[in-house]
Amino acid sequence: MNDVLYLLLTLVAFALLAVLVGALDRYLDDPADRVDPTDPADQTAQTELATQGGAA
Amino acid sequence: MSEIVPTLLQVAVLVAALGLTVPLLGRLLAHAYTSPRHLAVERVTYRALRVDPDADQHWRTYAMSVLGFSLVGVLALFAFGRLQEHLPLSLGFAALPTDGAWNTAVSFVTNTNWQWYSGEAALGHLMQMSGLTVQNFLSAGVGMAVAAAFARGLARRGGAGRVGNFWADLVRTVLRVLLPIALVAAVLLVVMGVVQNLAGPHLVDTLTGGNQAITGGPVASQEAIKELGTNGGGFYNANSAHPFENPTPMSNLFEIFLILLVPFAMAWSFGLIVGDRRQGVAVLTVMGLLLAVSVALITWAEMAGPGTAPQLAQGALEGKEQRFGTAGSALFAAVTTGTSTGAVNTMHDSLTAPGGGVALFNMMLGEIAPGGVGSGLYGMLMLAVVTVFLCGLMVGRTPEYLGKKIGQREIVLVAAYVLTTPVLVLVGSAVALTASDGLAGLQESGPHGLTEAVYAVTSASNNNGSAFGGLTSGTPFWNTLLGSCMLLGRFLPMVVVLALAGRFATQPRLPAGAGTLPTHRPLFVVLLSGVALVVVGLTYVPVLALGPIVESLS
Repeated sequence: MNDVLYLLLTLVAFALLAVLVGALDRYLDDPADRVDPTDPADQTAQTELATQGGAA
Repeated sequence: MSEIVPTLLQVAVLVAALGLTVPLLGRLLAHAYTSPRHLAVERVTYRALRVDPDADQHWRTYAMSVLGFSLVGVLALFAFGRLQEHLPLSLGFAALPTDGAWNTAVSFVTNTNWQWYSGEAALGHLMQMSGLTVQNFLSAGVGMAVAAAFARGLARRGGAGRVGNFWADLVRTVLRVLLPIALVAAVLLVVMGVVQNLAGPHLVDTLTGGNQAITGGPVASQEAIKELGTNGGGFYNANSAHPFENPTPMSNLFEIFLILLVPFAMAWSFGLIVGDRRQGVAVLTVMGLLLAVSVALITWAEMAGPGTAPQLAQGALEGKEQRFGTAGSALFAAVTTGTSTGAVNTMHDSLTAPGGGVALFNMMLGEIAPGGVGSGLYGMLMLAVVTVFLCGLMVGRTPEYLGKKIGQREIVLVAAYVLTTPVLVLVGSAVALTASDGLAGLQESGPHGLTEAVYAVTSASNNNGSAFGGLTSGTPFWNTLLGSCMLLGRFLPMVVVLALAGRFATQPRLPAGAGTLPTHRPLFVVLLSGVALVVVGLTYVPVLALGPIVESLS
């Protein structure tokens, strides 16, 4: 019984952390930051991103 | 004061060794976090994990990968503890109790390594090797990966919130950095006298006619990553005070070197990743300054501090190993609390009141001087953001750090980061000191008893793991409270750090202007040091006043 309680505690803690990730993502989702492919300035930003490689 | 010369000599040797190796390791780390090429062994690992190492992850995906990976680690280690008696090499030890197994699982996955048990009297070799030592590598790798992602976020321009790939960062950290260095360090430790075998308990007759079980085991291999990864969980209950873990002054100095190596090298690599080595040197200098002050204070307190007995004996010798001396113990205490390691070669409960207070203050700083592997760097960078924000307010300019604007959303994240750990420490301490189960664990009353409780919660919340002693923590109450503090103290800040990394990665990198505060000059080093001390001071002075300060004055 105790095992189940601690497993639940662990799962709930990580689930809440995942919820926090989602909440922060929404909080930071500023429309002004979105890349507009028709905007020449944003195209520059996309090009820079592409030249910076994948994993690092 | 007969120890003055050897004290200065060991510090000089340590500084010289770090001066030679930190730049080299910093370059290796920067290369690992920026190179687009994968080694063959890494590609095999990615295939086994079924992950794409070239996917440039959004910070949200990166954070979920960190959480998912850590959740699996907690569950696996919990199962190890609960099933220990059925596992090979268990040495006949029973399963850990449920709360103890959970505490241990959380403790090692969060790089805390708080130990409520005696390693040699509770854990078999398989648990130590395949459970704890593996997590020593992985938890250190997770912290370093998050720091690398944060540095990348600052370095990128218009990255749409993408901060790299968690799996690539983790695998590279472990395979290119931690494993090779730990292997060499383990061999050197064996040469210095640390044991490495698979022996079980060996019963001997003592001089007083009693019996004692002396347990061998794979100690050196665990000791190396224990220090290198700022983990701190000892094979034995006495940790680095045990002669099988840390037999000589030479091994003591080598272990201190291992503790400091990666945190300082991470700061060096930060400068390389953001394309301005001076930025890394500035951060490293602040770390070094704060550490130097704490080393000086603890050494003074232990060698010539208050109290008749310490002054007559030329040092507070209670709880210290004679082979390390007062200075070797004080240096270790400062380093282990300044780095979130938590290994001990002296009993911190026996430190003088000001000495114990400085050790406690080191942890309250948020483990930034130089802090844990990875966590020290991103903790210091968060305070750097606070510093440029405050300076921006003073001169009336929009604050920016490395060309990234510090706006309302950014400072909300930083504030959340700065407040998280103090809330855990103060609320956790309040719960412990008001609950009967919490008070039942304390062996002392008055200011010293308060310090024992606050030290334990501070150690857990900051993922340090050192124990002050004088606290019976192996109870369901303390195991659950401290486990919760460790879990939240590790992952809440990490999520915020990754969110800020994504935010910075989204921004363009503005060129420095006339109103930009230079963040590589001595003035910034002084400001950042001051901000670190003031932020912590304002937060913790009341509890410090009631604990170690009043004890010092009494």
